[in-house]
Amino acid sequence: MAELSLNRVSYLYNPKTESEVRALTDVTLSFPERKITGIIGHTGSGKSTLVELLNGLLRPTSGEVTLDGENVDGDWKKKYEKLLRYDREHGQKTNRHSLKKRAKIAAAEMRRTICFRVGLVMQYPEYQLFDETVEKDIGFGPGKMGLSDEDIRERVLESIRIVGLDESILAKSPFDLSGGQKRRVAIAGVLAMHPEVLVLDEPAAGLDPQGRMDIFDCIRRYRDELNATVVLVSHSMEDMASFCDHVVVMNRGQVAMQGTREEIFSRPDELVRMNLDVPQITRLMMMLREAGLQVPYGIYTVEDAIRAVSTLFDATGQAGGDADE
Amino acid sequence: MNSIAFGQYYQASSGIHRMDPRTKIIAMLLFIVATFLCKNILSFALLILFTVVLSLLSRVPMRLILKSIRGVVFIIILAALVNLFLTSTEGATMIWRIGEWNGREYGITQEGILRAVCMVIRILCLISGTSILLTFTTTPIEMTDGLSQLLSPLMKIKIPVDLFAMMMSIALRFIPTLIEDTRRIMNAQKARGTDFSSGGLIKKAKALIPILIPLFVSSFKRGEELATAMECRCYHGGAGRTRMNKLHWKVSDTMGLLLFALLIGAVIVLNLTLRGVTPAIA
Ligand SMILES: Nc1ncnc2c1ncn2[C@@H]1O[C@H](COP(=O)(O)OP(=O)(O)OP(=O)(O)O)[C@@H](O)[C@H]1O
Ligand SMILES: [Mg+2]
Repeated sequence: MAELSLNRVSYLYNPKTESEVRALTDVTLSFPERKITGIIGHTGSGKSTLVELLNGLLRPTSGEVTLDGENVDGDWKKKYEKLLRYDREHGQKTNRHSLKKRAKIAAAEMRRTICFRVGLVMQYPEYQLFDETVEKDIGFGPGKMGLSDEDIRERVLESIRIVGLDESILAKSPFDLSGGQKRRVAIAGVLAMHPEVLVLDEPAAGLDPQGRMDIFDCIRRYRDELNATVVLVSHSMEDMASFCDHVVVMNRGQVAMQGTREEIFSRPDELVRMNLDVPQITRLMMMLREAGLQVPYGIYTVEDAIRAVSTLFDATGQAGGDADE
Repeated sequence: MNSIAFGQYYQASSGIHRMDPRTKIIAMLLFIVATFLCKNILSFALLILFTVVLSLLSRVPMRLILKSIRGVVFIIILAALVNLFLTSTEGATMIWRIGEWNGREYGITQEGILRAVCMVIRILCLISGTSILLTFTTTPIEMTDGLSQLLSPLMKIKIPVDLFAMMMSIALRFIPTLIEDTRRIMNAQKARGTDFSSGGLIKKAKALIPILIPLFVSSFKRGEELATAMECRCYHGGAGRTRMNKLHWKVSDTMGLLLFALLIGAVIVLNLTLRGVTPAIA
């Protein structure tokens, strides 16, 4: 179980100073388990801020981020209040001292484990590489979890396989790799901690199309093999469309829309108003429909479009060969 | 470049903020000379008055100025104690005699108290005056510009002032970038389970390695890229370079300097005319 949700979360940078910035306002969200949720929004809409709140790197100015009902920022007072409330509702006699103790232990445990349970891959993660060899670098996180050397080795091998790199890379220095390889090694370093929720901020930024596909493939592989929940920030509507089950649209620090990708992309006008767009192929299909062709709704990938257009050609008895162009 | 959100610079619009940095550097030197020339109570009073007026003109909040003094409280106390107890007691009015040692009398004298008070005033004025003139009202970049212009005659004797100035301004330019990099790398390593807050000294130092290495790597890369970019635009040393933001010497700058010169003059006059009238403080 890994139910990650935000309840009326607001976040201010530099609160109560002249440089105060309101980055998030009253965000309420939950990320469906074992699904891939995409977060999209115009630049400065608060996506990175949201992502850093998910594993307790930032503390909400107000509101709460919870994982399975527990506050992720490890604030024992909030836990204490919750325990008090529980006792009151169940009519139990409260021993405040022991409740406080329990709350403190639970909060400390949460602070220690949250980073391993919600794995965060930051924007341009290759900057975090530091160790002598790729193997040691990927093993850094599992080492912090206190695993034995064999377990670490096993996890390193597993994650290097998931990100689709060859084992021969393990002995190299991370600084000798290409950009795309560095990116995948950095992601492997987070995967090796086996997070229940994997959060990635623009994992494919600055990569070529093949590099992007590789990254998305390894995220999907991880989800399938470990039944993890995935949260993914991206600028690209195309990535969202071909890859995510759910989509959250952010605008000026607020959640503007959320739902399945079908629900979101069926409202192109609202997206355009937020300086976003539906995927180009969806737009093309809409134009074809307006021109009177019988193409189906809900097409988000080029492959689907090819299929739809071919069936259309077959149905009308014309040669289907042109459709691939 | 973002508006230098580091250091002690206080953003405001005042006559002192607008002054030419060269003026402020010279004025600061004059001010320091004046504080050391003060020899009697009246000249110290004048010094205090001058400093207060300066702080009001600069529009820097009193709270900030007091904060900058907090850093030197220890030195101030030390200076006061030394003057209080070690002022020569010969011919002085003893208030509280401590004892004799090595044929010398020790104790608190009227003169000692006076000297201690004046020393405290001197240090207070020195710190607040110079920080108002420079750190609070001058951006580090302006300061570098002003200093390099003032020192430019040294280029005649082959001291590469312009190169130093360039190095200085590049370093300053990269401080915000470095802070942002550090924040990002720290967050990334925290997300991998590094704990910076607990553990002993050695454990904390060890936790810094995963930050320092990526920071060095990215800084070297940045430096290399910048060097390449500068060479591509034909930068080769400072000779003959012109400036984008030229410094302009205004009438108000001359007036400002005159005011500081006047302060020195007044202090000297007070010292001379009041010799023997009020107790002199070395
Ligand atoms: N460290 C910080 N200090 C002050 N303000 C910040 C800081 N980081 C972000 N902000 C502000 O918070 C708001 C949200 O920023 P955030 O980085 O979350 O946006 P984003 O959606 O990730 O944008 P992008 O797509 O460009 O990465 C912006 O207005 C930004 O200026
Ligand atoms: Mg961002």
